[in-house]
Amino acid sequence: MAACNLTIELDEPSRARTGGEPISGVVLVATEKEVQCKALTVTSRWATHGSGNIAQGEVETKTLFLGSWQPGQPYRYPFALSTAIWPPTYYGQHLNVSHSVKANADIPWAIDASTMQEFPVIATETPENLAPTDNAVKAKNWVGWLIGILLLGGLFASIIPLALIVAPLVAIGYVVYWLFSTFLPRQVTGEVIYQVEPATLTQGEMIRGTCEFTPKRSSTINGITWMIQCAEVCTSGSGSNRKTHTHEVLKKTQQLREPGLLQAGQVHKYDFSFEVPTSVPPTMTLSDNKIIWTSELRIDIPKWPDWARTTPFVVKVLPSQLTGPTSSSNRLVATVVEDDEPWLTEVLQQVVQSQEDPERLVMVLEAVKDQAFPLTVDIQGEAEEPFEVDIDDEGSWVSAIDTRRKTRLTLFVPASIDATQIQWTTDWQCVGSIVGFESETDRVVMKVFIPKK
Amino acid sequence: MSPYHFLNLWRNPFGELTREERGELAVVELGDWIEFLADKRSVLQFIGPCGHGKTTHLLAIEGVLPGADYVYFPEDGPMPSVGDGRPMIIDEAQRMSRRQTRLVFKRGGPLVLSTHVDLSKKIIRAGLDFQTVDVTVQASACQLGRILNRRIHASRLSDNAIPCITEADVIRLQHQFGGNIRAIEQCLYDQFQRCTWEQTVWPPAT
Repeated sequence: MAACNLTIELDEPSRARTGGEPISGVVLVATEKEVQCKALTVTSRWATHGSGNIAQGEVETKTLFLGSWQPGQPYRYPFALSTAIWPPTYYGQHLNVSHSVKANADIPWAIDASTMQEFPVIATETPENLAPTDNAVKAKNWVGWLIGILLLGGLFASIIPLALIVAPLVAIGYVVYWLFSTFLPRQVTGEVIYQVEPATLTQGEMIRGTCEFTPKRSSTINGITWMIQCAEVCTSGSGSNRKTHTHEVLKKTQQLREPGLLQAGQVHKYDFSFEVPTSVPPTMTLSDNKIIWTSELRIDIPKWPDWARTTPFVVKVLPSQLTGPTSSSNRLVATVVEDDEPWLTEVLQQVVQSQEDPERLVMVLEAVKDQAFPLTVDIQGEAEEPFEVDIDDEGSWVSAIDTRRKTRLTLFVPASIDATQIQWTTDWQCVGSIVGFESETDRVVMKVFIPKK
Repeated sequence: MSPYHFLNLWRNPFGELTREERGELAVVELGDWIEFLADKRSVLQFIGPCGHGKTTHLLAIEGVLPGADYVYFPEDGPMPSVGDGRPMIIDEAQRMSRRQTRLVFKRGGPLVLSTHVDLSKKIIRAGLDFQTVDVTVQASACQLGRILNRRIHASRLSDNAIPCITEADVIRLQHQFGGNIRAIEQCLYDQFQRCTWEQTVWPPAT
């Protein structure tokens, strides 16, 4: 048993910090006997936990005290530490990232006392070393590859006699792989030019792709699909005990072409795109713990090897200042926020992102409750009163969509506005405030004050 | 908000641990072995397949043998060199080359080995004393319960109550997985994740 008892009390413990924002609090020490302490330290840190080998980092350590503690006397040591800019707090199936403050009392000739307290962190910057990838599929010079492999094999063969057996096996393996992945599918599809851009994008942005090919011969296919996948990939153990755990976070498949006949000599061109939701995790690479985004184009050829290419891309976090120390205080004004479209976009994204985290949602709603935003929306039909929101005023509910921000809304319209008159109106302008989030329908709930003049 | 907090835990207790934590949380009786390792001609080998706790035993011993060197032999890649320092702990000792094995044994003990194959003949040939611990011998329900509950305790958030694994749970797990502790932990990890995301009671009623 430790010689003393430590407790950490964080200021605003449930408020999410933006990466790099300081975290402050106090360490409380209680002891039942006199204790000599070599050092009472506090450290801000982050660590992964879950199925993968642990990755961790310490951000800042401060020594708060050294000396002796007397029994029965409460001791309080305030502290302020920097937090890590990256990675953001994340809770998944195999991967979790937590940020915490750890206090440790180094007691000579006794068990050290320690405690820790977690706090959430939202990242606003993504490190540059998440190397973006080149997503263009280029024609491969297979002859060059084959010659290279054979030359390498020859080199080994001249050094080690065993390589005389190994090198041809490697070369055969490569040729078989190339045959099935490239050569045979290409006999049906012809050369496929496939490109996805950009290689790096931000949450909420669009990834776009094109695919063009001219079949060499007429063939029936089962279809062409484009799939976007986000997965946690965590590795545990090492050597022969190494095991990889994979969990699919998001998978969206678009059918670019239905099953049917591909006519020989006819040019087939497809454009496709996908908007990365704001509520999904960004790309992360934390040693053996990764969140990976990939896109895969597949031309499904019956009774023949498919043409398929998988290309990784990087999703960066949405730059956000909502909970930042400078922006939030400036933003909290009880007036209509004029001509500030990016701010409304950001607030709406924050609300949508917080749907799985009730505490954060309350915090976001609290931060913007006194703000009124100019809106331009397409009004749809009547809506039911959202379960999560309680408005005492007289009025009615309508569904709406902010087409520019691609955000679905449920609006409370006051009785002074005839809701039946505005139904199915496009570009209806009004002023409203955000009052909640309807989880059942994934809609942001807003209360309309007045139609905009 | 962490999904684990509602169970008064800050993480899934059955996930990966750091090397240090694995050693700290090991439930092994070290007394007799440490006494045996006081002799400079002693070799203690832990034999068994993957997932039965060989490395955990080694890490626990490392924690109580000050100044012990620890060497791990990977399945592939460059082989590490084994120094002259003693006590020496060698993980996956069956992967040492013939020459390396001869040199290590020639240098004497105390040695602690984890191995998939019995090295006793080579140890005897080197004139060293040895003890063999077969880790496949199934832990008692009580001991396995202690191993698992210790991991839950190490993930405790505050002084409030935390869930625990009962003897009935342990017997059921042993019936299903035998002595493969890694498989038991994997099963509990998945079960725990499900319960935290669904915010249901854990361990679930059988």
